[in-house]
Amino acid sequence: MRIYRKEGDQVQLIAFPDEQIGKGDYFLIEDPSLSKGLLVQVIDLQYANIPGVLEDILRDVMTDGELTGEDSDPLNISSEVDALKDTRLALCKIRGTINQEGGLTPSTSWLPSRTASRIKPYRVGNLLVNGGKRPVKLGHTDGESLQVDASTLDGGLNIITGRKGTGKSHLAKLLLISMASYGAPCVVLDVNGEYVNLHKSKDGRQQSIRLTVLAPRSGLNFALSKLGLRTVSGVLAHALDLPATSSKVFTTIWRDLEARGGLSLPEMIKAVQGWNCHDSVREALVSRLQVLLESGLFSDETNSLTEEKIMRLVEDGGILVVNLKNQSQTVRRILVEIFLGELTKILSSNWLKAIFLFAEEAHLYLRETYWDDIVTRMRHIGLFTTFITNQPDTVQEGIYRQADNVFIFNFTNEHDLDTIGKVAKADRETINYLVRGIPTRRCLLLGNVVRDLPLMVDVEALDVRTMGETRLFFS
Amino acid sequence: MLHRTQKLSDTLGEIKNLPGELEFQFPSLPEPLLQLSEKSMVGLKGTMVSPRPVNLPEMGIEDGDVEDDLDLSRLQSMSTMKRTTIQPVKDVIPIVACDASSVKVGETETGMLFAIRAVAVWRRPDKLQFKRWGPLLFHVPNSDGQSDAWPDDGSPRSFGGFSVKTLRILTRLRNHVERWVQEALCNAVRDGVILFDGSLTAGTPDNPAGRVSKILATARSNNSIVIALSKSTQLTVGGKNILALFDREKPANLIDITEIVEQEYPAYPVRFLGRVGVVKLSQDGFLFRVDIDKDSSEEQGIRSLGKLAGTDVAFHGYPESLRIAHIFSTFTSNEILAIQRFIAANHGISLQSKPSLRRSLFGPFGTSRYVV
Repeated sequence: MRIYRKEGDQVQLIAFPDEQIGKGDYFLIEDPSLSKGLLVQVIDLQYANIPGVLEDILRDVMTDGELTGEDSDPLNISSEVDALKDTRLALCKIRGTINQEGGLTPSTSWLPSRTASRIKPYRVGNLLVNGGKRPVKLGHTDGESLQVDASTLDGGLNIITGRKGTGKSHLAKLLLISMASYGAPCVVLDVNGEYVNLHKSKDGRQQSIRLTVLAPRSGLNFALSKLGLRTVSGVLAHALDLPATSSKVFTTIWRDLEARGGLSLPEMIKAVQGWNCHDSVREALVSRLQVLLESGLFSDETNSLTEEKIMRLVEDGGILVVNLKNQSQTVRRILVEIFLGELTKILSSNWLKAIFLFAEEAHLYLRETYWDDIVTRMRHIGLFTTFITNQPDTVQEGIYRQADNVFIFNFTNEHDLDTIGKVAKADRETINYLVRGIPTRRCLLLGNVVRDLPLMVDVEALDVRTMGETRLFFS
Repeated sequence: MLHRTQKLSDTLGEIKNLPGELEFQFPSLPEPLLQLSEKSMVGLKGTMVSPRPVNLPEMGIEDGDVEDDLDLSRLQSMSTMKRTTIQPVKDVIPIVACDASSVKVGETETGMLFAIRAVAVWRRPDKLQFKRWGPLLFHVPNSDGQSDAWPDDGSPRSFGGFSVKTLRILTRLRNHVERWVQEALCNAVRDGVILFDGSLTAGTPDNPAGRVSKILATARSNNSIVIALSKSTQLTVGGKNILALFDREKPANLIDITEIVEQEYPAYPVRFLGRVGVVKLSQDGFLFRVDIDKDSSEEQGIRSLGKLAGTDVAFHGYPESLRIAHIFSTFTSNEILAIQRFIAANHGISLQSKPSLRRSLFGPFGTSRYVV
């Protein structure tokens, strides 16, 4: 391998056919005279633009059809010609400098010798301290096991994105189970009912995972009195779009009922119907309270889910799956609003240090204002979110910029790649070149989890039922 | 009216339907030539070679390719020239063509490195086949005393980057390889037409007439005929290139100018071993200088041109087999690079480009009329 040239933060290497090189590979361009090396990553492979190749290929094409023949080539120079035709040009991004002690520094303000430098493959796994104190085995890179430190996922905002069927949910489940195994409290907003069987192995055996699945009319039951005015007002205002004037009237009625000790949804509806207010306000309130009633989320207010119960379900590594499958968008939004309210209460009270929230296709249930809330306020009280989506443009641009870790699976659509290119953890070229055409289950890791050294990984297989109870025709 | 592509495919279709197959047994490269190549490369180990710069404008340059320069200044009238119409005939006859190329690969401190390759192409009823020999590598020293392998009387004066001696050795080597292939073809082909690239002019130390005569005689003994076609020629009439004097609208025809050429030039030392003419092999084709073996009958020559025009001519009136032979013998830039890589890997030399004084002095205007 030889250095061809350097332009900006890119180095171009010439690789001969007998040299192993692939997209995503790291190489160290070691300059012995300077006792340091430039760490570069291959982002694209092209054929080297060798003069005369076109003529050679045209001549080869001629022999494909009505022209055949043989070569008497005593020096076997044709093999050299073939080797040149297959010579590759590797576009590489400079990632930093490896010093004499083997440490990585971000310095790229020097050039290694073109003639004296040695170029050799470099295992970035060594720099990741492969796993740290809490190793999470993510998969394999270049045939070697890759473990990351669970603490690099702590306190951050993560995004898992990629085309449908490329392995996003699989990775999310792997991270979820790994985090839970280290005692992290986890909540999953499960749109497709994919997480409900995580406690079972593929052959049906029970796993050691502590998993609780809740759904409307199946354990998800709330009481107005337990939720409190703030959460219920939030549901009415944000999930059901109650106007501000009506909200004020609702607060008055709430306080009145609370003082009389009769705070329940049916009582609230009765109270509103008999309240002395403008008909339009009454109509607005009654219609929304009826929606709450029909959602089935308040069917038994005597046995409701409280923040204490939620805390007990998730503390010490429990996983709470909120199954949103088959629910209307309104019910999803109500549920998410309630849950975020409850989680905020738990964290604000310091009952738990942190909760890891896994949100699948969050655009289906998360209101606009919550995006900012999650990455700012909620993050500071200890709600660490992982967004999982196959529609990257549904996640707000600001989220990409704030993300601490990004896991990108295959994308081919230019628009999708442009959207993801806004990630602050990597340059657009790296993402565009590396993500395009990667196979299923292979993923580009960006961010703290890989010390900002973009890395391709084949995600580890899981011995759990990763799909929900899908009814199949051909089974 | 037919388009050219229609004509071409029609012709190919008819050729495909011709019965029979033509097989030839060609020899391997002669052992003395291989030994000469090997011997010339011995002693390069540890030396430094300045590789020939390879870039697109230089692609496919064939070093030392010289055309015959004939000026027929006394010719005043076109009417003195004999014109014969060629009737294209489809026939199952062997049509075989050959060509050879040489290319400079690099410079050593003591000489030049060259590669030489030769190709034979023959037409079978349904397809064309080729046999390619080489490339062979030769290191040619610039001055006397460097090697006993290159006895020569040339002086070491510089000529376009080559010493005269080097150029002559290269020409001689390439001629030798080309004549060897021609000999092989004339030995192998019976009742056929053998096409050479260039002319049948001989009689210089580098291109001895005796050898060419022998090749032509071998072909005749096998009832074959040798026809040499030149893509360009320096044949001039009153200062104008002879190819410009002919009417392009006429059908396939041959204009024989042998008598004029013979009157104009002395019989010695340069000898015209063929009847010299200007030929057009198809109505829409270009004009080419043609040399037909002088010792074959004139009638056989015309008949052979007719068979050539009816069977093998495909592209701008040029024989397809000869076109393929040229394409397959020509060195591409990629091949030059591969040869340089081979030499570096197998002969223990280091490649180091020599700075170009011309480029240094004149920048982008530092182009050379000669191959550098």
